[in-house]
Amino acid sequence: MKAEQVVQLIKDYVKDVKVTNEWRVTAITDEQHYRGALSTLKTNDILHLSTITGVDLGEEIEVIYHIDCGGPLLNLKLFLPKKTPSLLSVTDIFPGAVLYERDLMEMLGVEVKNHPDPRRLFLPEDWPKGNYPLRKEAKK
Amino acid sequence: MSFVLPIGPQHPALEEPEHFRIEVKGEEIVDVDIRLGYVHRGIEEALSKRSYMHGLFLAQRVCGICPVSHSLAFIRAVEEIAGIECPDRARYIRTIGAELERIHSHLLFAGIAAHEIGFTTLFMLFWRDRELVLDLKEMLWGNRIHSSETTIGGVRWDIKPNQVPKVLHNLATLEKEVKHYIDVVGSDRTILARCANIGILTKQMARELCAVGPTVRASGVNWDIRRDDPYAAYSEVPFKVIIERDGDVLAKILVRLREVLESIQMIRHALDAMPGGPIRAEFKGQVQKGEATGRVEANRGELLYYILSKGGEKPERVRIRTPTYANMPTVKPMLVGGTIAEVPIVLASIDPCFSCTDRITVIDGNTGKSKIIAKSELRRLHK
Amino acid sequence: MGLMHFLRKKSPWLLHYNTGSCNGCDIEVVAALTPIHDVERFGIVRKGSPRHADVLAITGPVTKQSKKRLTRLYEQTPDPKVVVAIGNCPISNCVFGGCYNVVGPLDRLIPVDVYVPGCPPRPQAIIDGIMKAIERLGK
Repeated sequence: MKAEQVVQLIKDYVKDVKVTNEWRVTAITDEQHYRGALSTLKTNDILHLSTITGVDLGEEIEVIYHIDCGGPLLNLKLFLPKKTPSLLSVTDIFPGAVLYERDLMEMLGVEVKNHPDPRRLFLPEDWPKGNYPLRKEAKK
Repeated sequence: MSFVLPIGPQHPALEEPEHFRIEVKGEEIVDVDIRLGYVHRGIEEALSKRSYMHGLFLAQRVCGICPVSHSLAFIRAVEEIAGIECPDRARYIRTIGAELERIHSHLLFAGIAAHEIGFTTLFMLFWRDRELVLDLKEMLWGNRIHSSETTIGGVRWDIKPNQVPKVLHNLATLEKEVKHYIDVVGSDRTILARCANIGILTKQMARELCAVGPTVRASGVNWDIRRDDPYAAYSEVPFKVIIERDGDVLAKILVRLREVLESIQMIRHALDAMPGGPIRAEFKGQVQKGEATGRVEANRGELLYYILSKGGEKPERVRIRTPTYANMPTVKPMLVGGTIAEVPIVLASIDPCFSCTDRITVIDGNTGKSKIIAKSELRRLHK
Repeated sequence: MGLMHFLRKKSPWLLHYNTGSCNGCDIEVVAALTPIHDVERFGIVRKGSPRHADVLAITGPVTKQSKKRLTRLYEQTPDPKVVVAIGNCPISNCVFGGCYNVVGPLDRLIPVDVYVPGCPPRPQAIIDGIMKAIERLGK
């Protein structure tokens, strides 16, 4: 699929689309529309979610879905309020998201609702609850 | 893959950080649980506290088997944000470094797979031949493992004309040996008995679980970052993407061995077609504001680095997704329905890049009792 | 006692344990077993159980999760024993110094007899380090 085609597919669910070149597209969405964008991609045979990245930006937590669109890589972003970052799991659309969402939960404290298995992934069992290593305020 | 050998089956007091808990009913596996974290060091967080050059040395050491891939992915993202163009000659040298790494890694895997099915001699042969690649790395770049030839802006060392004959000589020997191994693997009855139709991952399951690399190419998924999102000199060096259809352990082994042959051809072509010119563009240490996602086809599959820069000499955020991480969810469908004797080879078939424990917890679904079985015991079950 | 001492010097059993390394050192330890480097010609045999080990060869910067097992392994290995730290990670944490899940270096947690620096050290250096450790076993 070409970059322009990707943009066309998701245009109803995003604002601020940037096509950097034929290999990279960035689009900003929000909590109401991100699942629509992901479902549309899936029904158009785009099946590969490369990973999910969480970034603590201070006031907000940015969540990026990196999706391989058979050519261009789409970075689909949304911004969650730092105080109550919460979204719905996308494992019903992309089963491969199962580990990345656990990672997001334990490293950044994002609440991922409906996750089939919300256990810790990488941190030791005795790591203090509420201490999220990738948040700016994380204590060692 | 490490060879952390088992402590032994009777240690009820030990709470082990087992990686896999396997539930069985009789001989058949009904469920698999994966536990990670044993090698978790905290690298992403550390990378946001170091300069890009320091960070490069850390990123390489995420994995001692694919440091070139990690370097390339990290550097791909940095160079994109910083607007640095790697000189053409350096792009070819990077390709040669990456393909040498692919060869050594696939031979390492083949040796371990042979070991897991009880063929110690074959394991030794693969690792003997792998030394031919490590010799080349040492000659070209001074280190067998963490060679650090790739740096931000280009490469550190040029390939000199008087080094080329040794490279070609070792590659010719390797090519002959690997062709022979492919014949053996495809026809030896014991290997076939333990690898054919074992640990099958269907194409549909591979795609649904968003798995990567030779693990999915063995199931018929036609995808390779070198072709589909090219970097270094891959858009100029011709190569075939190797696919198998059956998705079993045998297919996973054959894909990797055939990729070795392909890599040998690519290195020959790159040595021949390499343009002259400088090998390193300047990098002053400062990177402007921006973000980029660097992807490479590492030995095990798609490796992704996302870097966010707020301007300055340190990144704001570095996100790393290794190929083994992506392939973890495929272990369960490959094991369920099989027997516990298959566990070592099926786990090895995804070429996992973590210190894979040799001890696996097995839970009997009928009685609820669990016991810890050493991998060496599982290997003996075949006899 | 004399015979045991002699036997230990002649055929030491090695337990190799990874506390969270990148695997670079581990694959060089395994390479030391292959025909080209061949540590077995010195009578060194890799064994799985700490109960039979003479030499503990440790790699990695010691992650939190691996610390408990490490100290248990050390306690379960009967005396006399020697510990060889292989690679820069157990010596100084190497590049992982300051990472939040790392609790090394190794000699903060267990006594170390021989340090084999390198990232990773070559198989020849590893064999050399193990041999030096075995000499200490006899003393």
